[in-house]
Amino acid sequence: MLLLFAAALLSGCSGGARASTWTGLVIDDGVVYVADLTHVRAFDAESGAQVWTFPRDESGGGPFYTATIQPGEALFVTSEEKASGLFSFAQARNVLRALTIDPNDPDGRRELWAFDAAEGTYVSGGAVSDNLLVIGNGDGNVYALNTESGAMVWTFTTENRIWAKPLVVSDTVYVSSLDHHLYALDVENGRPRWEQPFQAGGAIAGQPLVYDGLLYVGAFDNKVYALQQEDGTVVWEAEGQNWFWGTPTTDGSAVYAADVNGNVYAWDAATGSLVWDEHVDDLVHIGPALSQDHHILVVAGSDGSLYGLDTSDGVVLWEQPGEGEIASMVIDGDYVYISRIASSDSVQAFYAENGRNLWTFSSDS
Amino acid sequence: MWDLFLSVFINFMLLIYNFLGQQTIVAITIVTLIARLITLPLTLKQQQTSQNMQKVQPKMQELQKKYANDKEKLAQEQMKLYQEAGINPLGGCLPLVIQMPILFALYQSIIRVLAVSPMELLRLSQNIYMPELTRLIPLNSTFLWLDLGQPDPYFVLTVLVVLTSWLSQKMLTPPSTDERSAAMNQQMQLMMPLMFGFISMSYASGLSIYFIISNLVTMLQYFILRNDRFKPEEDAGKDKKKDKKDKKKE
Repeated sequence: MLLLFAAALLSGCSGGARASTWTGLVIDDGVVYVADLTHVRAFDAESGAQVWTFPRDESGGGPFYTATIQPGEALFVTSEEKASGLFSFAQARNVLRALTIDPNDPDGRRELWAFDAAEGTYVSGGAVSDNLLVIGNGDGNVYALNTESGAMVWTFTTENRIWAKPLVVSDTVYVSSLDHHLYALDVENGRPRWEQPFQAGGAIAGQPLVYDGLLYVGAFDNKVYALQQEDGTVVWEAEGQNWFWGTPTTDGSAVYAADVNGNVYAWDAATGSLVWDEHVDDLVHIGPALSQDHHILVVAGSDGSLYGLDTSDGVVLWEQPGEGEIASMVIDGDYVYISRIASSDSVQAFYAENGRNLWTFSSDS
Repeated sequence: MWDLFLSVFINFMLLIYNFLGQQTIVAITIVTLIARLITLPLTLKQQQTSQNMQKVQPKMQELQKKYANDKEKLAQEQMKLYQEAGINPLGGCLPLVIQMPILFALYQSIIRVLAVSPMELLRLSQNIYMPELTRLIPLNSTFLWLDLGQPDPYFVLTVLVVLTSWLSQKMLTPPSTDERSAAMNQQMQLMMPLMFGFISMSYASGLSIYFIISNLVTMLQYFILRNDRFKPEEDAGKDKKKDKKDKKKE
């Protein structure tokens, strides 16, 4: 009986090769880059043809979780690797690597540098500003690294994990932390720009959105806040039914966000008054994304489905069911690109207009 | 249904966390103690059955020898023996089966409130029914050198888990007069602590705290409710000494 109990405990804990966080996807110049657990993969955005993988061998490495692009220059990927040593299986080594992305490079994907000083998991990618990569870590620190050498330029410590991608706007970087704060830092030296960081009533796990002098950010106190970009004061706040995790999006007139229960909201961007709300039958942790023409709002459900909503009234225009948790979503041009975990269809592209599948990369093939 | 059951544990743990200094280790300890208290009647029943089973072991062995070639008769005589001794053969494992959901829920709620990974945290969002508790998320998981969401880097908890598991196993395992059972018990006494040690070394140290508290409660229960469990072994020891003395006299 005890053996059964222990076996169940073990299976509950490990359950095979389970990802410890979500996988990231970025697009640059017609190429989709995905940190696809065992490999970092590059695909032609139009056809889905695999351009390259890192590492080259089949067995791979990693697991790789996040990807950040410095257009035309480098790809920064993070992985959670086994530490060496006697009890290595108990320890993880969090590595941030810079890879070349030059298609003419005869060496393929060369590693430029690696940074392994962070002690926590990288849950989201970073932001690049000139020659600086700013990235948050589960150890509560924001790291600013020189993109060419990987040398640390500055760090800033928050009181809890950082799971959101920082947002760089001109000379300021905005950092969300699970310590309930949103920080505005000088991108050059990491010094705080606001007198006080903005404090929400719950953890902040998503990247803020900036539009027309306002910052929009969701929190675990079931609220989305509109803040003055200059000083972080609250302009308006709107409430949902559960936590807001993902980044809101806007077309200028309305701000769109989804709470984790799958309630999707459109608020007036200036006043915060509710325009419409709709429900999708799924958990949602990724911020919704707008199609190029701003007519469709695409919502990614954690359980695997994609939904296309009419931005004028919130009506669900199309639904694309799928298997495997959707880990990240990016809209580029007419297409929606997603990465999945716990699914063989690990990378997929769809038409934003109708949800039709454009291509699928199956990691089994 | 299971998620609802789990949510009860999670919300209760968050309430305790909120009212008792916002220390996760305190919340885990209190909830483990309460869960063990709730399951105490079942534990006692199980221990009682185990003791009674132990008492009839010699007679059982006699029956096994006597009816070695007649399985049907053996089963009948065994049932008769159980009835005479007032033992329900399922009385030993039934309380354990009933305890299982409680222990599983406790284990899962510890993992979930620690919410080490984003996926766990997303799941946790579906378990919190009191909005005022969401401001507590994520919980303060640091205690001394430990991050309760990570394995203990110095393996102190691992050693404690192995030690307390071994001790509680040793105390609870009834002595067996049958050689095969004794060998199996001995193997279990070694394997189980090692297995729990491996879990402790590999997963969140909050889980190790749960194992240690649980083992300590088991030992405490044993001391409080101690009875003549080990008497047969002592008697057996005396008998052996007596045999030696008799042989010397001869």
